[in-house]
Amino acid sequence: MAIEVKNLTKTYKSHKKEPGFSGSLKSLFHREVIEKNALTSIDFSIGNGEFVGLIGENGAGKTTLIKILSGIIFPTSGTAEVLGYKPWERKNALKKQFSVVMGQKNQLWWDLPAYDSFLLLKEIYEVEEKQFKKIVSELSEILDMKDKLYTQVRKLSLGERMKAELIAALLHSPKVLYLDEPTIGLDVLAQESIRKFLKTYNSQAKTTIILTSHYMDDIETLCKRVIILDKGILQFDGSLEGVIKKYANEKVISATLGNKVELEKFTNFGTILNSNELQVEIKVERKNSTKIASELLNNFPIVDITIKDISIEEIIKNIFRESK
Amino acid sequence: MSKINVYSRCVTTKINQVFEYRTSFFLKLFLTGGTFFAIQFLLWKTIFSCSKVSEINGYTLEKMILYFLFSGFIFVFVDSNRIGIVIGNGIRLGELSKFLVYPLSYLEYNFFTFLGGKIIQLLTSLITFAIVWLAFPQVFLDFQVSHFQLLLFVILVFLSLCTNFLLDVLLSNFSFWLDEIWIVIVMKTFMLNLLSGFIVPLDFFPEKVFEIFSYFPFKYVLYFPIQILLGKIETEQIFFGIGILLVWIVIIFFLHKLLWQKGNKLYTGVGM
Ligand SMILES: Nc1ncnc2c1ncn2[C@@H]1O[C@H](COP(=O)(O)OP(=O)(O)O)[C@@H](O)[C@H]1O
Ligand SMILES: [Mg+2]
Repeated sequence: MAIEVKNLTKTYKSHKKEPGFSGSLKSLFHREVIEKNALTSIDFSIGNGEFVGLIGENGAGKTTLIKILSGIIFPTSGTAEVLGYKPWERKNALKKQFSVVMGQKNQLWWDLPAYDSFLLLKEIYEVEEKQFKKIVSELSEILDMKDKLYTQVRKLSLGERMKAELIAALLHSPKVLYLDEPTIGLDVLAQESIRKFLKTYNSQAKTTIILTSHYMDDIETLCKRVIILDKGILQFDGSLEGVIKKYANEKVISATLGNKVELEKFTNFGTILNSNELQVEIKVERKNSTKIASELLNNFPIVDITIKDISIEEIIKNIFRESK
Repeated sequence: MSKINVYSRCVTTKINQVFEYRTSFFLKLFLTGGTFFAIQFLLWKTIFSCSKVSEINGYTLEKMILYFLFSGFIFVFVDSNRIGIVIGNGIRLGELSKFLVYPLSYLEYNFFTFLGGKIIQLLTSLITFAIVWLAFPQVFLDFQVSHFQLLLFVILVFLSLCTNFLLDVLLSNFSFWLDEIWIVIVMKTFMLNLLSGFIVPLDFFPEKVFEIFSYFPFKYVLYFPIQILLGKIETEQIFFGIGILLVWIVIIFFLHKLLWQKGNKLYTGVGM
């Protein structure tokens, strides 16, 4: 197992900080504590080489989980092991084997070319010269960054910066990689190329990866397995198909009509999602979908019909809507 | 020994960054050192010419000028550049997170990048010093120090740089508890300026007070090294000074460790 999490709970205790210096001094002696439950009794384990998607709405606790697994913060109770180490003990032996990339934070030096930061990371992680050159040249080739490595980071586009961050994170060939919203704010093209890169990287380097993302496209193309967090509680852990099986109680039938039909007539079968002149999409109960489809075929002038699952995005939204 | 590589890379990366910003960097450097020297120069010139004495507290005008000239050069090197505020902000704004995952301690990282900036400041300082010497050789007539004392001087100044840096680092830990630490850092800077001899030579203080200063690190940051250059210090005293600084470095280091460990338990990595 690459990662094992048992009964992990995190409660943020922050002290109410008052503005100004006198407020600060006062708060040294008398402090009002604010508690915030971010994770509650989380259990899961992840095998070597798995690519797991971590999903949940804003504030669900995704970043908190990644911070604990990186040893940045301490858990309140419970335990976690990454490659056999407790991350918050901050052993160099573990630190040399994982990496974390955060969409909103950068580790590269802003005023310097990315390559300068790479050189520093090379020494921090004690990567051998030959290995370093090989990795930089391979990764920058795939990510199409070869001629961007010598430009100051602040002059790069958002997408290029994220690609440089990815290379930086992979210089020491980590066994475990955490990606917290790596595609946030990027244009579709950059998102796609990063997605493609991660897919090949995971399959070639056999790196264990946890990815959080707002974009279900990221999760769908990359992760066979997903973990769903909702307000700090683990809601689901399993395959993407499993999510569909468990939560998708509905299917979508879309029909192409030979000639115009009154839309009203379809409402007896399900809810209309979309319609235009000769095209209609209705949401129906999953277990009745085939029966309804054949009834539709019998009663309407239909030239083409398909039945599909509702989109994963829709399902996830439903899960969170229900829990509210 | 493999750490040499990462340390020197921290130094060179910082130097590269400084060169990206050379104009503002050098401007600031000359402003800090130069302005202060100019003020002191005019002030003491006026004092001497108004009071019509040739010596104050054993300082002739030439000695006084030399004092503040040395003070400017040494200060530029040993100044902590208020690195405590930078580190403190890193703690407060969550920038610290990325350093916590590196297999290199935050202290080492900060020290060696800090040293990178200092090396550039030292070189600039030395070049300016040489130019001033060539331009006004008469000021340096009194400047006679043995090579051995000069070597001890270098060691002492390096140690006082470390002390000053560590003091800032120590105070930066308050960011784990407080939102605003700039006032703590400014207070430290004020203490340092007053007690190091940056504002007036320390022998202007009453003798009892002056004696107490010998056991605190501040005196060794400026006043003491200047006195070495002025040829007023016995070699044994320099060893004593180096000893005092070493003791303080150890004390401050352990205090820092304590606060760092306690503070880290509270760290929540905001903004990530
Ligand atoms: N540094 C912090 N201090 C106090 N509360 C926090 C901190 N970081 C996050 N939280 C709270 O913990 C919960 C989980 O946050 P987070 O892990 O960032 O969620 P996500 O990444 O899924 O959006 C949220 O309610 C958030 O307000
Ligand atoms: Mg988050």
